[in-house]
Amino acid sequence: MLKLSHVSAGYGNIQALFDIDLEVGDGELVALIGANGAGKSTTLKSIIGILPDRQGSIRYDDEEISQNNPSENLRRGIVMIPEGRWIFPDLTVSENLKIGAFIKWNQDYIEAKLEEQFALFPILKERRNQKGGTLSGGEQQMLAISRALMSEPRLLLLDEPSLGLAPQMVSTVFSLIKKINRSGVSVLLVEQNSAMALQIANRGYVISSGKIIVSGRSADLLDNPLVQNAYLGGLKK
Amino acid sequence: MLTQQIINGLTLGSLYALLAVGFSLICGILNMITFSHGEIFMIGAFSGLYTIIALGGNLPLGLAAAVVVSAAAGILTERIAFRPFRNESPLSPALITIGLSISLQAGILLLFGADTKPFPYNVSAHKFILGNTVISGIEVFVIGISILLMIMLHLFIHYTRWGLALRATSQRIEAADIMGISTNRIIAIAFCTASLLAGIDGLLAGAYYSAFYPRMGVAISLKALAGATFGGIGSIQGAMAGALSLGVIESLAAGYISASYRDVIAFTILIFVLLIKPSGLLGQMREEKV
Ligand SMILES: Nc1ncnc2c1ncn2[C@@H]1O[C@H](COP(=O)(O)OP(=O)(O)OP(=O)(O)O)[C@@H](O)[C@H]1O
Ligand SMILES: [Mg+2]
Repeated sequence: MLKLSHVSAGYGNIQALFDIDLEVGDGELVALIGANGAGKSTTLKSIIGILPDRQGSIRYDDEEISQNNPSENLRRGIVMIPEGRWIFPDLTVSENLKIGAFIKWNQDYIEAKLEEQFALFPILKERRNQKGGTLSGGEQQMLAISRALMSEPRLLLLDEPSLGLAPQMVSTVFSLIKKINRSGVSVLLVEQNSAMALQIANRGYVISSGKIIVSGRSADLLDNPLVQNAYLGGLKK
Repeated sequence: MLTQQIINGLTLGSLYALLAVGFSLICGILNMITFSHGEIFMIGAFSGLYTIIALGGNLPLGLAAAVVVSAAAGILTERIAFRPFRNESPLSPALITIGLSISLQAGILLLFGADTKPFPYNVSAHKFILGNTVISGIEVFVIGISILLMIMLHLFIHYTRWGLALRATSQRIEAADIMGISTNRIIAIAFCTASLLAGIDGLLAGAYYSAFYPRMGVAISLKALAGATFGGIGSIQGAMAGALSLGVIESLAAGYISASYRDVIAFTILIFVLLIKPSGLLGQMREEKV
């Protein structure tokens, strides 16, 4: 479904990605793990189309999308949930959700989707008229995920959804991601919480200093001594 | 006497408000200030005036001309003075719009001359007399149009899809980008809206004072900017409230204290309020959660 070949990207003079190859199959949940500053967020930003400097090929459904802007990608079903969630602080919960379906012009569609999301996330329904900025961190992550679902994505790019959440909330978010994936949405999941990410993923990639250094099935990565020592805190199975 | 001063103040405040909301729209979305807003007001006024004269008194077409010319000028300003400097220092747009303001004044001076042109119709002919308060037709017209436009602006911002996108873009432009909002278009819409309001305002002010001249937008735009800051820059309601208060304070100061010190008094009050509440009357300090 998504295939990156020889992708390089950066910010002005700083190159952050070097020749990345990465694939997400139809219905797959793929984890991208790595240390701080390794280039995880940059990879997602290159795919969604907010980085001006990128080279290489990004194919989606056998179509080249590396020159697309976010709006074109959104229309094809690719949605990104950025690191830090990027909730609109002064828009209400309902308005934040409606923005998620901005590219769909149809008002009836948007209303129907809104009800669907409220059924899925009762806490958001309860807080529908509250400003986004007044929600707790966990609620904001729910809102960010729900907002992404408003446009019926086929591929979800998730950047560190567990960042700053209490352990209980982290498990809630991870099971939610698994549930979304089971409903047929492909997921590319970026996480610092490598062990948990690999436990729910089908496959994983490890990125270091802008290069993919290891990749494979999740189970194999969890067993790989190099990955264990560097990213799983020496976790033994 | 008091009601009279308040009516005068509200008329003045309405004229400030139509410019002030424009400053708020632009500053709210880009965090940058434009210094040629007064000249957009002025060229709106001139295009309105000359259309009315040419068409033998057609006021609606005069308003339409003011809208079209000022909106086009606003969109052009955004293209040349703001878009190329989006992520750069706000000083570049400031410098360019100052230059633009001087050039537009010079251009109008060359085209139409330096003398003050009167509005060709006596707009104070209709008067309403309530007790000892006299309200002229033009005051009712200015306040009425201004209220109508403010209501339309409010409805646009709060109840339309583009208004929602505008608010989203003002709050978090990078987030609006990834939601598929064409933020360049939204910024152009903000400039267009701010500018057409300024153009209508120019024609109203020119008719009210019966005075059209190249520098007619200079003082009023500075006061509107002060009113917007006073109310809480970036907030549309704040800009309206700030501009109306400035108009009323000024008018009361002129009526009860001294006409020649009205500006000094009004600005002294503004500065005191800002010292006590730096975010302005209705402005709020942003606390952001990550
Ligand atoms: N806006 C930017 N301008 C310049 N350099 C940047 C910018 N954003 C990221 N970088 C650099 O690009 C490299 C990769 O950053 P990136 O944000 O992709 O890392 P990451 O893997 O997501 O890290 P983290 O886990 O801390 O989020 C880093 O060296 C970073 O300093
Ligand atoms: Mg990151």
